[in-house]
Amino acid sequence: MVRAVAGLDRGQGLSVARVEFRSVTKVFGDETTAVDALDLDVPDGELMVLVGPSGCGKSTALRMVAGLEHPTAGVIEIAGRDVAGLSPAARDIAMVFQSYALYPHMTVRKNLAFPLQRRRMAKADVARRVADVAEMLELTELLGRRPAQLSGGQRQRVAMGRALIREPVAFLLDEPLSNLDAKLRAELRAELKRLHARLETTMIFVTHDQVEAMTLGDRIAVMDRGRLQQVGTPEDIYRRPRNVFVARFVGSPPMNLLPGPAAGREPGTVVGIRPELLRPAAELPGGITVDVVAEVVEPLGSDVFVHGVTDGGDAIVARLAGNASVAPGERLSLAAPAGEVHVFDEVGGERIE
Amino acid sequence: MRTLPFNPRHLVLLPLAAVMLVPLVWMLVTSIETLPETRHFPPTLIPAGIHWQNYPDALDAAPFGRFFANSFIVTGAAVIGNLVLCSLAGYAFARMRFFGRDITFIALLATLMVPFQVTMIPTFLIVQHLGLVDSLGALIAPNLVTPFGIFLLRQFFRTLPIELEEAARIDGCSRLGVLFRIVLPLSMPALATLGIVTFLWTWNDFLWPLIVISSTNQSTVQIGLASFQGAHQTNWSLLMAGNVMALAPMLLVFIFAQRWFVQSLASTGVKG
Repeated sequence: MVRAVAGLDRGQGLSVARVEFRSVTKVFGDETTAVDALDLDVPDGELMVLVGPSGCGKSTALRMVAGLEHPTAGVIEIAGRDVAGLSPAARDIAMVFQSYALYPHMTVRKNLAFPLQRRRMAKADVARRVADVAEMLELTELLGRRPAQLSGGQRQRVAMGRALIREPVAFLLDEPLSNLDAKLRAELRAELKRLHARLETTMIFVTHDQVEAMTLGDRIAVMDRGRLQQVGTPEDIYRRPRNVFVARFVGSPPMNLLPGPAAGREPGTVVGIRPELLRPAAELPGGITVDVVAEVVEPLGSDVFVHGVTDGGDAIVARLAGNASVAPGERLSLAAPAGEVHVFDEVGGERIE
Repeated sequence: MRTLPFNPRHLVLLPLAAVMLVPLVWMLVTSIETLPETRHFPPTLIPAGIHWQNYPDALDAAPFGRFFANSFIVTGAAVIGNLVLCSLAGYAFARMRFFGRDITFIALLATLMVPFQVTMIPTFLIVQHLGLVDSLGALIAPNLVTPFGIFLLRQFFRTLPIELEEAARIDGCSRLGVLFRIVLPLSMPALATLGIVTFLWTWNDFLWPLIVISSTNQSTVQIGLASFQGAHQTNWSLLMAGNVMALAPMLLVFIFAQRWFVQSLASTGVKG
């Protein structure tokens, strides 16, 4: 869907910037700490995803980069420059909102042209850029329409276009896909990824959806209750979650957590086993075995999800091969490779091994 | 349920509409009657002939051209003043954070409860101090901005999605730019309402001009019309002819702005 358009590729005048958070804290109304001492470095051209449950501070962090909120403490730098005193306009960033925030009284053409006109760009240049961006995002036919006359996906593309057209040093995206249906979301996710690959510009993408985070991010920053839990590549986060929160948050179905003794470990630990690591014990001699009574069986074709209960009463999910035949009520002995389970401290939830 | 060929609510609304129209029709009828006809009892509802002469006579009875011009100047200034100043104040109250904002706003609302008769004398003293007594300035200055207008626009501005304003700030607008390029264009229904209401209030205002204006050439239409009503006798046909002429601008304004006006009342209930 993304087509090549002269002038919008990297290396043709498009500058990018590093975005850094240094011990950034935001407290609202002296009580709620939305963001707690956040240290995060988003290098040039990276697509960083901030992910976490609602209220984890990810949107607040993004809004502080945009200049829509001001940090209570700490420093935010864009391209090496402290932006504390800069208005949103002066930061040379663009933002896409969850609601798209298209100006309802303007046509698509005027929406796209608006940021350029505010920067007093010459009329002919504005027209050319609008035409380029419209072509790239397949909006040319829609230029005369008002936002109310567009579908959700079209509105989303206009919002992207309005951000792109300025060629900002960084893009901030606040849950830009969450108002779309699942199919369109997947399409636009891929489109966004292609766009990022082509522009090679810095993007910070906020979402509550861990699948979106895993599929999009060069790196992911997982946040919870204002605190940064872990930063890393999707693979890092998945393979070596730093604590129980990250372990449970990333992955679908979520990681199984069992008390240490139930999985052959010492007391005071929690053992985490990814559902896809579990296999019938017969296939995996020497693994960590768990006996389970199957309760719900969900055949998905390629896989079968088995939801069950261990003898200790812990809920467990196993993702078995599509040809596995399990009946509800059946007793299974499942096993996971000993080297691939995660062990956490029961008290703090931190990773032990 | 069987559908009626009309909305059943019309059964109530139509008689009510008729009741509303009676005074208007009576005024129109009286304005084309001869003086004896207006004094007849029971009232003459269908005059013997159309006596157009009342209209030129009414205009000749006093310098109505001057009165209309004065009324238009005063009303126009009040409408423009309210639209501009209430927008600025309303936006500040709606969206900006400053020390004492809520207290100030509550104080402003409280002034809505104070009847004009209470503030009439202090207002007069202020106007006198400014040296504006018996000039159009005395009619314009106190009406340039109203608490009602600030309240109305503030409430409307708060219903607009804040993301639009944030997006505009990122796109390069100043606070005033956001107000003029985003907020006000989206507030046309509220602005139209405020414009109409201010027009009606100012155009129809009688008491304040009566207090503050004494010369004929500074009078407004409403003062001029009062001159037809003497202590001992009233020339009803001339008065009604004058009234019809004084009413015309209001009707025109309403018809012209009705689309916005109705929309603003409708949009208060339904989220668009």
